[in-house]
Amino acid sequence: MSRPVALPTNLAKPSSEARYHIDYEWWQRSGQELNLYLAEHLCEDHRVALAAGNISPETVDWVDPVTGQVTQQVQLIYWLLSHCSRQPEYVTERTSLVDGVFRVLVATGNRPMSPAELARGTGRSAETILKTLSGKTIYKGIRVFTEG
Amino acid sequence: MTQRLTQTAHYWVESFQVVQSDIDHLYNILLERETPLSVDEMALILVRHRITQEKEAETKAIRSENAYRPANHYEVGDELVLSEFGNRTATVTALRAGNNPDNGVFTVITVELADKRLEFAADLAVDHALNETPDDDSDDADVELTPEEIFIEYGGEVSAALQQKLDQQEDLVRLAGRWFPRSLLADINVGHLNLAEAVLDMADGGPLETNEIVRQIGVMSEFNERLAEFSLNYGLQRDDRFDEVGPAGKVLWYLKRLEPPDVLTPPARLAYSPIAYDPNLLTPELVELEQEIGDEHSPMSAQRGRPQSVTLLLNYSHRRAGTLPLSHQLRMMFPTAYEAPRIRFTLVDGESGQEMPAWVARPGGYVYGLSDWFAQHEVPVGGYLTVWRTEDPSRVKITYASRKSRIEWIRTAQARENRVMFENRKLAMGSEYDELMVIDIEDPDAIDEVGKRYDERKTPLETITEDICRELVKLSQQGTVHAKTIYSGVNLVKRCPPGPVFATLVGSPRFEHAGGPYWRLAGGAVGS
Repeated sequence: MSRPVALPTNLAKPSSEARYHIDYEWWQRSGQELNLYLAEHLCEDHRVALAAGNISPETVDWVDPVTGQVTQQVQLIYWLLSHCSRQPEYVTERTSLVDGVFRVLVATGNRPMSPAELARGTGRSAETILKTLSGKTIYKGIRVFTEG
Repeated sequence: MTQRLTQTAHYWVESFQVVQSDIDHLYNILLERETPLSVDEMALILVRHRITQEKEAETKAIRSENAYRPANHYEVGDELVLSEFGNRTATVTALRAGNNPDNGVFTVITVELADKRLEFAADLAVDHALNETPDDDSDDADVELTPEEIFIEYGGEVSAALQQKLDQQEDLVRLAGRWFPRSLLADINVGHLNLAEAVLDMADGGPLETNEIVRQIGVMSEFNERLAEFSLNYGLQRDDRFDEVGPAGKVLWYLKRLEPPDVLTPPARLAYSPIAYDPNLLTPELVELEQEIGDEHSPMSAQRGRPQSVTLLLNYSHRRAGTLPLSHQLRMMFPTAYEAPRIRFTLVDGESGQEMPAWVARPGGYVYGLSDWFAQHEVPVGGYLTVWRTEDPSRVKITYASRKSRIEWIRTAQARENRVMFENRKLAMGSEYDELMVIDIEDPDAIDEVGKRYDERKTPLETITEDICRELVKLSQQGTVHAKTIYSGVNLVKRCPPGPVFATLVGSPRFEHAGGPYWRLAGGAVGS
């Protein structure tokens, strides 16, 4: 079977086998405030903690529950990873598609995921997820993951 | 646990290749089961094999002494196997204290992996999945696709790749879509083949299924039934005395020397040497006539679906040869095969239920076996026949448009002075027919002689058409002839589809268009 020639990622049309992740460098370039957006996804308890200023500026070593890999996460993301993502109201049918995908990616340590995996996590169809994310507009830094 | 590679489309569609260990595994299966298998059956076995291989590799890695576990203690220089990263081995290059109050005191180790530096937890006291030994009843089994589900999804790709690889294996033979190692076949010697010939001879040549031949030979009882059949098929296939005449998916054997000669060699009457012509000369009306006639050598529009029945007009060539054309329309009504050039089947008279042995001769493009039936029912040239599919693909029903016999004026051809001449005669007709195509033939052998003479002299189609036209116009008060009638007349002496005949009428100065589908000789010549 012949293999297709690889296109530059900004021109390649993603297929159902493409995997998506949160590109945090996009947030830095975009000028948008990542922390404000992350705060929108906190559970009630951690919103209160944030409002009270109980947030450490230090990063936390987060241990991936599947691989054991350690990544250093800012406090907001750590709260999402370790607590908020485990609450039942974290992703519901009222959560928008983009927010739902973002929350699922954060909850899994930003491990690149296919539309099918994101569909399982968000309850949305893989086709709709692929259509939404494969357009020219990049939503909340969610884009196709490329190696290297 | 991260998704297994064998659960991904990428694995089966883009990166799947059949390797020698796969072939070795399939060989072992064929040996153990002593049963020829189809490529799809082997593809499913291969899918199961690959999935099992991946699971075993994972389990082995996890259980190995060097398997990475977050609870373990590591020092710089230690090697560990990362089961979640393709079971790759990495070396610890640095240590530091972990910073996460929720995990208590632990260490973070740095490893080098594929030119990347990654950090992992060590001395971890809290629960972690990698600290557990996996068992076969893990929850992942509920989430993953089964081998059968993977085969349904990607089996096409696996079968295609496997087929290519199997074709390269010299020791594997394929017969009727099944494969088996040649070296493991039951030994079929000339004695077995002679017995097979005798069995078929007693059955008037055949056709017989292989298992029936095996049963009657009675000397292969020590072998598994499927293997005995496959081995005998292989032996018969390589012996020129035997012809495989079953439809697709079925193996039937026949003795070649007892097959009708006109099945082994197409009747000369049907031979058509393509005549070049410009199809753009045909008017839309003539194209419509061409489609209506349905000659097997005419270009036909693509057929959609499989009709339950097809009605055709019988031309002289097929009436004379006792055959039917395998036109685009009719081809779908008769049994076909992947490789066998000839297929033996049964034609059933739709009215009487009479059964007739018949043959599909694929290379020649015709169905043989209707001479007696045509004669019995006096089916005329230009008569309507209908072919019907039945529930059994090896039985095809045929009817002619019978009606109460009536005396009618019928165009009749006879050979005189090396020419074909026509006159109208009163004949009893017991079937419906196309008035424009019907021709009764007084002496077919004499007509054939006229045709042979034209062939020997290499008479061009234009001249033959003119000769036929000259005689046909005598039957018309207006001195004109319908294009269909000209086609029917020309085919008495030369096998030719309507296209070249109609193009000749349009393009040759010897003919004049008389309006609609009617033609006359140029200058209104009625003929000498």
